[in-house]
Amino acid sequence: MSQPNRIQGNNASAQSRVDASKPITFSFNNKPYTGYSGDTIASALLANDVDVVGRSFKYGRPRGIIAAGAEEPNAILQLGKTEATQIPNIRATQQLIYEGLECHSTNGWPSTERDVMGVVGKLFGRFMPPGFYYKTFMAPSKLWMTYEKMIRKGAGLGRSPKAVDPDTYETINQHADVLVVGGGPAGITAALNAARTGARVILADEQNEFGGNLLSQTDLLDGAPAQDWIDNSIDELATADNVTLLINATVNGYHDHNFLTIHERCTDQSFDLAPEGEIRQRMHRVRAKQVILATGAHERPLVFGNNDIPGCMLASAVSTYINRYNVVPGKKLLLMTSNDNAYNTAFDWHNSGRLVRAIIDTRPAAGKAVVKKATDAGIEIIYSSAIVQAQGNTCISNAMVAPLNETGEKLSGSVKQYDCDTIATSSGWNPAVHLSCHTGGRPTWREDIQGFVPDNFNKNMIATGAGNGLYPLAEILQDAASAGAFAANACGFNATKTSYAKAEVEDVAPSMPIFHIPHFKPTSRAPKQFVDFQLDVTAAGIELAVQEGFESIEHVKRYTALGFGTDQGKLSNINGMAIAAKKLGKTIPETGTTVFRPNYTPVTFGAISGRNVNEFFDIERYSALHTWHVENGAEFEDVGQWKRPWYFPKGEESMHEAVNRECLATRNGVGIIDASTLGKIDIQGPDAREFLNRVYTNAWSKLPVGRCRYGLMCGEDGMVFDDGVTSCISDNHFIMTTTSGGAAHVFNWLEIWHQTEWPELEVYFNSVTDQWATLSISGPKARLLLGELTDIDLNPDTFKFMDLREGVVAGVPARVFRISFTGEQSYEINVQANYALAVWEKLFEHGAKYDITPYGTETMHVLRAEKGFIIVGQDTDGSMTPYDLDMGWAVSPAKEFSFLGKRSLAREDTVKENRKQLVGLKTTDAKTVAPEGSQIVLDPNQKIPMTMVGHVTSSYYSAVLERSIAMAVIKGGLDKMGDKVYMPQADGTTIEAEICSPVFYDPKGERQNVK
Amino acid sequence: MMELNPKDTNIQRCLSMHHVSQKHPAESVHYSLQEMALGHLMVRIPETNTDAIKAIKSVIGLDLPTQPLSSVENNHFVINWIAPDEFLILTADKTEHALEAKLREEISGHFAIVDVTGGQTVLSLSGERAEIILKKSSTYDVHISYFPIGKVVTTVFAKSQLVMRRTGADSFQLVVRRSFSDYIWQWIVDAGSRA
Repeated sequence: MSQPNRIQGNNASAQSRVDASKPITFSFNNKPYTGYSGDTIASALLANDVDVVGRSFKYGRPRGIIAAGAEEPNAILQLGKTEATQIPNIRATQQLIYEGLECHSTNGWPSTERDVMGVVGKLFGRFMPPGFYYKTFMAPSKLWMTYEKMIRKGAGLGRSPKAVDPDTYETINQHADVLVVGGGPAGITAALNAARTGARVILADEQNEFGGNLLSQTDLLDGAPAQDWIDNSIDELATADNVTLLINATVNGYHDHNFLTIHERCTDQSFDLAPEGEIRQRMHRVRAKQVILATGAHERPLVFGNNDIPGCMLASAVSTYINRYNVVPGKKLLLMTSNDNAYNTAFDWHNSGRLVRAIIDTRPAAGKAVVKKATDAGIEIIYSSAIVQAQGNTCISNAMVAPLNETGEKLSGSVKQYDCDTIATSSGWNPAVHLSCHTGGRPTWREDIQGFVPDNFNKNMIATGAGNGLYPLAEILQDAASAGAFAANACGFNATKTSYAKAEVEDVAPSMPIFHIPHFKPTSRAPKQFVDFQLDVTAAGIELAVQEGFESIEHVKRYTALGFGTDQGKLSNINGMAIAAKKLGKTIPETGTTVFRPNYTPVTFGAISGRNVNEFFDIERYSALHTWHVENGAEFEDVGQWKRPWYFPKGEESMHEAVNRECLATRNGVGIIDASTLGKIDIQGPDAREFLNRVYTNAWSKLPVGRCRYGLMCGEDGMVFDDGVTSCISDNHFIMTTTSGGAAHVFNWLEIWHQTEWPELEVYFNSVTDQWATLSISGPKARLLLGELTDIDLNPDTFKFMDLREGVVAGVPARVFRISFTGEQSYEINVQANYALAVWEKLFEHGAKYDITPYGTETMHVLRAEKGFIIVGQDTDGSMTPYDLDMGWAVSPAKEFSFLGKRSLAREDTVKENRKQLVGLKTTDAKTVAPEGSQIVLDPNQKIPMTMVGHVTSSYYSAVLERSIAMAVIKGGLDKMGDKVYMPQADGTTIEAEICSPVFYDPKGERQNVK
Repeated sequence: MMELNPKDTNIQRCLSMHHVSQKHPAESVHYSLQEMALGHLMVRIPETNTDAIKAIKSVIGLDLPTQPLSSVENNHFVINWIAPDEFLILTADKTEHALEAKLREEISGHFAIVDVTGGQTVLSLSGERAEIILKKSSTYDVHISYFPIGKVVTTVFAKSQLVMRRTGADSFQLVVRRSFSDYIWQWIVDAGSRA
């Protein structure tokens, strides 16, 4: 029969959430299995009596399913049908099956059933103490990479896909008055009480449906099955428009100022690949005024010998499989508990029609209610005893039970064998305090419940229910109702009364503080007693770590790897601490706890990046002429976020050929460049001139209306950080231009100085970068061309170099600046951006007869380098003063008020001899273009390490000069004109060059000033 | 101060979204996205210049919205608060120059007016999916209880930023800088393609 562990007929659970009318086929380790709709992979595998789901990390021991939720350490699977949809480390307990699902064990190469590491672990396990890998594979260190690959392959914890992820992910920002984390009885109750006040509420749960632990237990609420209450409550919340309900949505991170991230898996529970048009996962970025943590608790297993044999499970997990999934994971159960609550597991098992071998209670007595139920069911209870060791290989065959002394620290009698195939254990519950730690909270120990609870350092966070160490259901509901009302009131709402469902109250006997079951042998000699299943940390390992001198729990954790797995030690941390504390002779609170970081469970990179991929990975800023550039075959270069045309190749032209052609066309005819990306700042106010005086190194007091001036900007350190031309429109109105990449920085710089230091200056700045498109025509024929299209008088005697005129160009109102970055006669035509394309096309229409040639940034760079014009950020690097650039002419130290950077220009270091200075370089071989960045030495024969005196900042082939030209910064370069320098290359050759002026072309500036 | 629109109305004008809206049409029954042709003036006035504030009222017929994050409007104009001394006046298409001229005539003392009509644009976003598109794009709380009609904020939008103003329960105006047009338009169309 298929699904031998599925409960049939009268024994079936009335509250089961699986639909037996909808069978689903899936595969695990390439073998097909059938489960039902509503099954997780774990419940379906257990239904099919699959014991072994993986191999352990270090020792390669066979491992089975332990838990039923996020805390599962063993059933960690690789999911995915195709290479592109591979997902590592999926917890089988949280993943629903869907038709065709394919999954594999992540551990156990080459196979789960028979693997290499298992043999190694078995033979040498004794010799693999904590730190084994550190200690063993230390030398030789260069081989570690090889060792690591093999160890990883053998141990394995899943792998990433090697193909591009075809799915789509999204992020969404949410704001809430109250975010309720966890949709169990506490969370639902809190959400109801908060939502009824009108507060904006988000209720999120990691499972595929609301209900939390109620889905696993058989409690009645208001005298009816709990599912009725869940359904009614969720209906109410779903119809309220102030409530957002999220399922399959894990609140994974709790960040400062009540910012939380929720990882919603939209299609993962149904599809390998999200259907077309749907997103696979969504990250909710939530800002909440109040957060209610109703996160529930994880049951704590008891630590005993061979407690990792498949069949050893948490008591609550066994109940979950029976009640929620209609699956009973074995035939004969032996239950070990230190509390009353876990007795329910025995009753659930009994009700499913299978045998409860016995209840082993570590206490001398149990609560009356559970004892009566056990007696009625005919289940034997063995008090003051414990399971000291399980036996079996890939499944349990029997267990050794022995009497315990009063404190649980020693065995006090002889062993009795019990045959069984399932061992369920419980030593109580650990509140899921994880989120409360993310922003720095330190959980506090409560002796009465033997567990850590969230501390209350965040005044806008309330923990309730089992997540706050409250376990009786009736009390949980009452407390959660108050929490919901309190949170709403804290947001300014008015909750006058609370309401909550009534649960039965039962007398419960106190639980016993016990974590680690003693063995006849010392821990180090006893069969392995696992604490952290995922990383194979044993009680002996922790004791050894303490013995080796690790006293801080944080050190013990790192040395043993306790809690380092993808499960973050959800099952293991408290047991590990308790064992360390005992060995240290301290109490648990004295030993302290480790805290948790985001995320609670692993999050995919896709959900983190959302839509910020491909075309949205980074902003692309376009000028108003971008489409023309694309249509005309431009290659593009990134300048900041701008896409600027780099060059415009014709036909099969190489970049080099295109640039040479563009350069010559501009030098001999007319070239045109889209300079719209230049930063432009409109400056208005009576103190505009004074402000310019203070931020630029040169003087602005006397710049006449209609004139332009080049300026350098320095930081307080005296180093050049931007340059550009500023023009006087009217006495209190200027237009500043900045570098394309520096515009935002310069704008902020001006605002900061205005707002913080000189608020008394009456001046305003506005960014007009995008307002004005800048079409720059250059070359001997530029004036001819412009003359055909404008009403502006271009007479060079009146419209001189560095003049500005307003008029109409190609029918469009324009500001025309006669300024030049090429050294040619040049006009920068500025028009409102909406009309840029019309003017641009008109220029081409009329320019055709002059062979007007569009050029890009590369040609612009060559042309300016021929003239020795610097590019800030290329020829400067934040360590160059105006004097280092030989631009002392642009500094006016005599200005009345100081200017930014002035004081630093007199510092000892900025005036010292031998600073790096900007010079030109001509290579001895005119055809050799030295690579930019080449280091410069004076003696090519010096032994390595050579004395480097500078480097090449710009280097090009100049078509008009028919030779290579370069700019470089060289120590004391300005005094070394004519000297030979050398540039050793990576290939062993050396390029020789001569230091010269950086102005290679038209040194007198006759071309730009041409009349 | 210049009139920047050509006299010849046959000259082709390409608003910010001209190309991207053709290449990536926003065709959806769930939301509507349209570019509005408007005149844009950035006005900077110190709050101490009370004469100027009066002068603006005389020209526009509206009090400057000095309350942070607020806006005022009448049949001809919208004034958006941008910063304590910074306001964005939106006016009918091609009327920005006449308005600027009138304002300059009336206002005295320290102020600045800048025509930014070509440098930015207004997108009208409306429909049942409009708010969720904003939630996918901005960290600002756009719920109507926090972002009511008439409120205006300058805030992050995807990796960019913009000014947004609510004009109705399901309708918004977004002021976008020209060079970010393609990015923001495509982002909205993408975000709007899913619920």
